[in-house]
Amino acid sequence: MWTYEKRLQFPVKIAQCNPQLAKIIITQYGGPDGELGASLRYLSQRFSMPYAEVKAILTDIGTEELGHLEMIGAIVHQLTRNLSEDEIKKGGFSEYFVDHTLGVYPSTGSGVPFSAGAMAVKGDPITDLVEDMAAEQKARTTYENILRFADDPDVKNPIRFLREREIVHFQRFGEALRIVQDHLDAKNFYAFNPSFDKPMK
Amino acid sequence: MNEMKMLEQKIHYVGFVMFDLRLFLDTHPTDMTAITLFNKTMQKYTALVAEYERMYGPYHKNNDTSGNMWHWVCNPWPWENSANEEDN
Amino acid sequence: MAQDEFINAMHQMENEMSPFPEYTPVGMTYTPMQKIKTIYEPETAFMQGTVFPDLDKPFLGGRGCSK
Repeated sequence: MWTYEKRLQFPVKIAQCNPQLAKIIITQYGGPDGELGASLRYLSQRFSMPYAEVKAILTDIGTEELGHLEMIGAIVHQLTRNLSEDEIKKGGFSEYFVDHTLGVYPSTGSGVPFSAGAMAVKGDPITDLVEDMAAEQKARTTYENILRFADDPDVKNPIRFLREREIVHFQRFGEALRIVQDHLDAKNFYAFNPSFDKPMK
Repeated sequence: MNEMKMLEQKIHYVGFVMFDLRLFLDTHPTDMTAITLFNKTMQKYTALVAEYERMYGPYHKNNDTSGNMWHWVCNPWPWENSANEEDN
Repeated sequence: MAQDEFINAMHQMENEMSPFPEYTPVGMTYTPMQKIKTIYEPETAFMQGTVFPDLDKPFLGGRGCSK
C-alpha cells in the first residue's frame, strides 16, 4: 500500500524557464530509461520473487523511484510553466504543446509515448536483478547526458541527486543478486528457476 | 531562512539518512552496525519531529484538521516553486 | 557479559569477512557486499545523495570539470 508524503525527496525550485531543457529531461519521466519504467519494473518484479530481502529492496527502491518520477515532473513543469507562445515556438516546443499544452505527459524527448516495452519482468530472479542493474546504469548515463546540457544550478542540483541515487540502487540490486546466489548451488546457478521450479533432489 | 523552515530541513535531512540506511538494511538485515545506526537516527528523527510539533503543529500534513480546516488541500503542492522556497 | 563478547566477536568476524563469496565460478556476476565504515552527517548525506562515502561517485564530465 502507498502513503503520500507532501514534499519532494529533493527540492525543485527553478526560476528560469527553458523549453529545450524540458524537452530532454522529459525522457526521464516517460522514456525508456526513466523513472516511470524503473518504478513499474521493480514493483512488478516483486510478485514472482521467492526471497524476502529481494521483495523488500524491490518494494523500497520501486517506491523511491515514484518519488523521483514526481521530481522529474516538477522539473518539467517548472521549466515550462511561464512560457509565452513565442518562447514555445522558438524553443522547439510547439509539437509537444499542440498535444499537451503545458501538461506533463509520459513520453520520450521525441514524443514517443511511454511503453512497458522498455522494461522486462522475466519471472526469474537472476534475470530480473541483472535487468535491474542494467536499468540503473542506463538511468545514470541518461542523467549524466542531461548534466552535459544543463547550465542552470537549479536544474543540476536535483539531477545530480537523482544520478547518485541510481548508483546506490545499482549496489543494492547487486547485493540482492548475491542473496539469490546464496540460496542456489554455485556449481550450477542455472539448474532451475527458483520462482517456478521445485529443485530436483 | 526562518527557524521553522530550518527545523523542517533538519528533519528532512535526518529522514533521508534513515531512508538510505533502510535500503542497506534490506540487503543486510542482521548487520548490527546498520541496526545501531538506524536506531540512533530514528531517535534523532523522532525527537526533532516532536520539537517541531510542539512549536509549529503537525509535521506530516496528512491528517491536519487544526482550526477546523482540512489543511491537506492547501497550496502549495510539492511540484510548485513556492513549496521549495527556503523562506515561505 | 557473555552476550557482549559474542556480539563483539560477530562484529570482528563480519569485518574480517571478504565482501565476495569464497567460491566465484565463471558464468555469473558477483557484487561485493558493502560494509559500513563511516557515514556522512545528515546535511552532507543529503547534498551528496547518499549517506555512504563509499558510494559517493560524482560525475566530472569533460576535462575533469565538476558537472
